[in-house]
Amino acid sequence: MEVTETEESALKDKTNRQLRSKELLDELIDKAKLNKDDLEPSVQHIYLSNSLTANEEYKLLELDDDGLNYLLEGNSLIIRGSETENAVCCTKNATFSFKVAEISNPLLITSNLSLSGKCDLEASNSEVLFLTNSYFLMAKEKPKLQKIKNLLELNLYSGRAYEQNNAQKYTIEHFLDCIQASEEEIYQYLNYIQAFQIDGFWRLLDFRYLNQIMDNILKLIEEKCWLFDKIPAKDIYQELDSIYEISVLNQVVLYYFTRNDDDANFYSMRKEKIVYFYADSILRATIKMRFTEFQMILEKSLPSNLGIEFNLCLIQVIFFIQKIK
Amino acid sequence: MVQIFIKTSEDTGINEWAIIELQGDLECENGKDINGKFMADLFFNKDGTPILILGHHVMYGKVCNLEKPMVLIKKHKKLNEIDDGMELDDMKENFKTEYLVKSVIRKKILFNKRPKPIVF
Repeated sequence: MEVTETEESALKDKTNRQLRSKELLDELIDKAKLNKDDLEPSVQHIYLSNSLTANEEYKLLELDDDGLNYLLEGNSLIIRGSETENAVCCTKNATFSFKVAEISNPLLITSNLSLSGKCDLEASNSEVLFLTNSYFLMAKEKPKLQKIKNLLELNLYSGRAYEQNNAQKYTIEHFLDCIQASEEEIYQYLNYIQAFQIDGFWRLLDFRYLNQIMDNILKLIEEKCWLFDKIPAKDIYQELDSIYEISVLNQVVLYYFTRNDDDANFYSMRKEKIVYFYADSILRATIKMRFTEFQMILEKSLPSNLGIEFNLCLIQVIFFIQKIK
Repeated sequence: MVQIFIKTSEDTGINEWAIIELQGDLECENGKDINGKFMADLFFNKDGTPILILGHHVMYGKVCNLEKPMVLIKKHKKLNEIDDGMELDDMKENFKTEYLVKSVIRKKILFNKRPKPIVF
């Protein structure tokens, strides 16, 4: 027996479809052996959207609550990747893998659907806008930052005189366009590798150049007999600005000294950093070296007013050496 | 490399949609265009059980909260901002792809029990 629609209810709703007639529905309920008394009075008619099969534009993305809130607050998630890489998805400060999960059950994404049956309207229409067997998901991942160092090492900075005009230089925008990481992770890495901002571009200093600058600064400190925790940065700039640019000097100071809490005019040496720096410069010059010899050279290289805390630093230097081996 | 932005739109706040999850494949008459077609009637029992009548089947389901929320995102081509000094020719290539969040989905109706056939 065929189920036929009567012509009586030609009512249309906002999706401009006819509401299915009561008689038809009653017949269905009866044939399906449902008990009308057990049912909520309202019914929802589900249609497939007019452009369902044409819709290659929709995607389903699973998030966690933090990710969802991040979006709802007005922030953007940014997918970064080239054709040859696996895509990542980034917030302002974290990186996630961006992968597809496929499932066996079809998922119908439906608009205007009540999930309780307790509806004011006796009948309403809903639309399936997207039909899919897959969705994207994100998992926290380590950002890929090494490329930044590789790029910066291609054009080390040794002062204006040695600058090559046609060498590629990078701003944060360049990095955001080619590095699979979040903006904050990029900045943290730039700080970690001790990158310098010169003329709006990020640069790495040539090691010998940095060595020169450090030597000059530490010599100055010794000459002027400044205490290691009371170094007037302004005087450093004044004495050395004929040789080096102030912005470069300033960044060297920020990396190797800390501003004093009690008086912003004075800085303190960051001893570990300076010891590491000299240890690094000694080790760069040789392939291998006996530790006792290394220790002797290092002691000689360091400024005398670091003396007392040396042993403590030494232990940390040992770990440093293990690391670079 | 490209950067593709996913962000909310004016629609996002208004829409909270749902997923209907079926077991097995959705079959349609071969060769016919399914766009715009009627699919199923959805009823609810007074105890809250959803009942779907689709074609010759009646299915009993369950309303569940998704373990993790989902968003439906829609591709959108956006015209790049015009820089001074940009040639007219450049503008043809100057679309950026982005995805706008159309809706948030937190619940689904799962129909994974064996469907009962309807005899018409």
